[in-house]
Amino acid sequence: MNKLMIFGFSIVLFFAIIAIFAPFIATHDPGKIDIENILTGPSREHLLGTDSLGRDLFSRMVFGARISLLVGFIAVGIAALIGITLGAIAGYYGKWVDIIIMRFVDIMLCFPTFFLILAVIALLEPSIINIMIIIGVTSWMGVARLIRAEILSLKERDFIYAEKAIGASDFRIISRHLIPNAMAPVLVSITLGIAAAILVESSLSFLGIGVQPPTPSWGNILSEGKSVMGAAWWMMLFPGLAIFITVLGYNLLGEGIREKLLRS
Amino acid sequence: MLKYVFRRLIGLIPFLLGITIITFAVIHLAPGKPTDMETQFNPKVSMEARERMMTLYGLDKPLHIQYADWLGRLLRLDFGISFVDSRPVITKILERIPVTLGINLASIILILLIGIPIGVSSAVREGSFYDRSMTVFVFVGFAIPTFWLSLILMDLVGVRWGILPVSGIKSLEFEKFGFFEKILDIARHLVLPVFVSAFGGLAGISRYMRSNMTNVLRQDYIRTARAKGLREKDVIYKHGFKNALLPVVTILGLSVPGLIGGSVIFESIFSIPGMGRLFYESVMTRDYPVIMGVLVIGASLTLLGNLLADISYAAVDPRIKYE
Amino acid sequence: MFLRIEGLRVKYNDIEVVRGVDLEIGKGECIGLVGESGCGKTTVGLSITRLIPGHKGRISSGRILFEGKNLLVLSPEELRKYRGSRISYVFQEPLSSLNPVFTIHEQLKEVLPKDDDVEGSISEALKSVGLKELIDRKKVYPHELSGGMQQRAMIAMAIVSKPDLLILDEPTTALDVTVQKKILELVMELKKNLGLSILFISHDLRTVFELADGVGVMYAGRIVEQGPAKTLMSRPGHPYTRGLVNSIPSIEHRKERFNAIEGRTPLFSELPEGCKFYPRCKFRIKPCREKEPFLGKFSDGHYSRCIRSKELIAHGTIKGI
Repeated sequence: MNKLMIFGFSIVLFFAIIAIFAPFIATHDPGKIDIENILTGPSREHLLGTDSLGRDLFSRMVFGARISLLVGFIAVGIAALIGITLGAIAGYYGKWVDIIIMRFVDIMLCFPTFFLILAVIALLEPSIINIMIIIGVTSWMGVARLIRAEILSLKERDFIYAEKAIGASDFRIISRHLIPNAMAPVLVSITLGIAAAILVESSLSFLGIGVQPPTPSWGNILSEGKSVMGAAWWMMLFPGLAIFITVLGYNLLGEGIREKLLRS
Repeated sequence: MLKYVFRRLIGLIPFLLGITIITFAVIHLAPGKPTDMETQFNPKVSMEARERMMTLYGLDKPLHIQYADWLGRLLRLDFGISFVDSRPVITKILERIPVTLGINLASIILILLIGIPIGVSSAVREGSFYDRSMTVFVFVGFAIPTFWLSLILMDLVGVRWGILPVSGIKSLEFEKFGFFEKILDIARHLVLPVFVSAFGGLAGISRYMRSNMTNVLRQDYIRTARAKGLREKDVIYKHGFKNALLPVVTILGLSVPGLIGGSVIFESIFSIPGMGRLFYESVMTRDYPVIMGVLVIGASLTLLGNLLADISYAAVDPRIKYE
Repeated sequence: MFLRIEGLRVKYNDIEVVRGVDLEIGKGECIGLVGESGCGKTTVGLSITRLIPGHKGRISSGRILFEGKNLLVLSPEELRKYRGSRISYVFQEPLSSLNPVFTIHEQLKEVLPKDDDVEGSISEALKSVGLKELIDRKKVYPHELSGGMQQRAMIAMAIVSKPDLLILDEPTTALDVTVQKKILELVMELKKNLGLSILFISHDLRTVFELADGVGVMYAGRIVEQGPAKTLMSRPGHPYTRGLVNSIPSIEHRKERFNAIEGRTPLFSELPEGCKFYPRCKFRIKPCREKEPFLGKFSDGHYSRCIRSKELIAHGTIKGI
């Protein structure tokens, strides 16, 4: 473990704990409207202040962490699943299968991802589930390329020939031998992917086409912060800071893992 | 050279086809179809517009016929008619493209002008305090959400200090200005958007340039250059720099989709009438012809960026021949 | 003495890889430095004009006297006057040693001071390395040449400013056998015509013995034997030299080609106590593992770092083993 990794991991762990234990950490009901205390600054009662409906910002942020991390993890999980499957098939079978899949990857990469995501959102309702799926299906291309490259070099190894000789099925060879051995670089990509997914989700929510209020997410809190700009600095500072630090954490962790892999 | 460009252009055809297929599939195969749209959901879509769309896309015909029809119209640069204001989609896009491209071009220039020197000087001083602080800056640049940075700058520079305008690309009294005042006015409006759009890319390029340069400085030919008795400055900035710079050309091509995609965010925040904002507005109003048009054109711009990058790479790297 | 290396010690990441090397090269002399890869011979060559990569290696002690001047204490600016113009190098891999994005012509040109007859010197250098056809073709890049031509271009770059000392670091290892021979012939011709002094670094013993007047054999960062090429070839005093000589594939006995020394070069981080060659030595006796022997003199100019050298030189081998 190098310093980057430890620092990144601590941040990741910190927010993960907040997300998991949100109901115990939150000081208020995140949805409770309090007309008496609209846009009050940070105080002992409201640690990070209140929003324009008098809801407790700290509690909303704590529950927002849940949404952000959940979207990040599941979206990347979907992306990894698609990327690993297609990349492994392309790398293992080669020839026209490879050509078709990799051309598809190349073409997908031409689209500005954010455009593609917005286009699909236009068709679907912006629910949390849909957001996860959309981010997942538009961000698997990097993983596919990595897995394919790894498998191309792995499949010429002796132990794969040995497996084939004893009559192992393609599925078994790919899932038991090739993919596990090709996972190291994918791990870095997945870690960095979580950061990217969190950024995309918060951007969408900020633009009003992601997680919909009253469900709190860091992005939609920030969007509200924009509307009260100049009147409530805490509404803009804290959610942005939370996104920034979380993304930083995953990036540092990813870079740390990369460095560690390079050395070994 | 011309032959090479021509051959590359021919090579783009399958990609363009792929782009149209994916665009078409996204709109027509996703669970919610344009036809499911209800007028009450979006009052801007009149019955008349729906009718027009039905005939435009021939939605009663089988999918492959619909696609062929649509593609045929695209070839004649007919992207259809906007639901919202009934203007041709291509006109709407063309009037927005210059702003988006202009801002992205300005930010690319800014990224290169600042990012390359940062990367090179970090590589030369590998492991120093300067290098480490630049690494910290790079991580901050990567992690900071564009929209948050925009908001903070808007709040501080625009609202609190009132130094720069924070909305649109020209002032209300623009038409009364003289020539230089007009240029100055646009420039003032673009400072924040360009800065914001450059910020993340700056981190990327300086990091990339640093790793290229550290790698290049370990090459044998750098040792040869030193052995020849060249000044350290020539060793680094002549022999090292040119080799480290070449791959940046490719990266610039690859960064086009990210930059264009990112324009949605800052154009919405700063109310800039560019392609990103057009796209955002059409998503909000479910203006499908515009959505499809921007998707196709956005992806084609990426292809164009990659093509330009490849051509310039071939032009600057003697190892690559136009064959 | 023209070039004298005294007590040179070099560390890479705090591990000593050159552990006290003394070497002399006279004017117009060709001295060979041989040993298996990783013995420190390249590092010795690079140390002469301090070309050791600064981020991991450093010269910890010693002197390198070039015409009486210690190169190790010169300022970088002063040292630059020696690099290229007085002392020049030819490295192993011509393609990676030439900058891919500059023409051969540009790379030749920058060695010379601007006020000289640059074009004249370039033409002369290209002519003398057998690349006459490049004199007028100024737009040629390294990748457009064959390996042999690239190495000729490297040599042209090394001699274009008429240096006094040429350091050749495995100049032919990366080339085809037929090309190797031509390059070596070229080097010897240049030595004769230009009166160059040469330090020839190679793991290829036969070439070194053919070309060099004197030879130093390196093992684990030190010279283990040193002397006239002929003496070392016929009467090696160190078991390691003996092993190297025996592993030369002779033309008559091609089948004995793989008569190499058993075992592997030890890592610098785990060198054995006593004689560093001890674990691989056929002639080892108990005292060998206790103390590293000093470089003893056996005849005029013949030195060896082995306590049994006298027996080996006298009998060619030691009986009963």
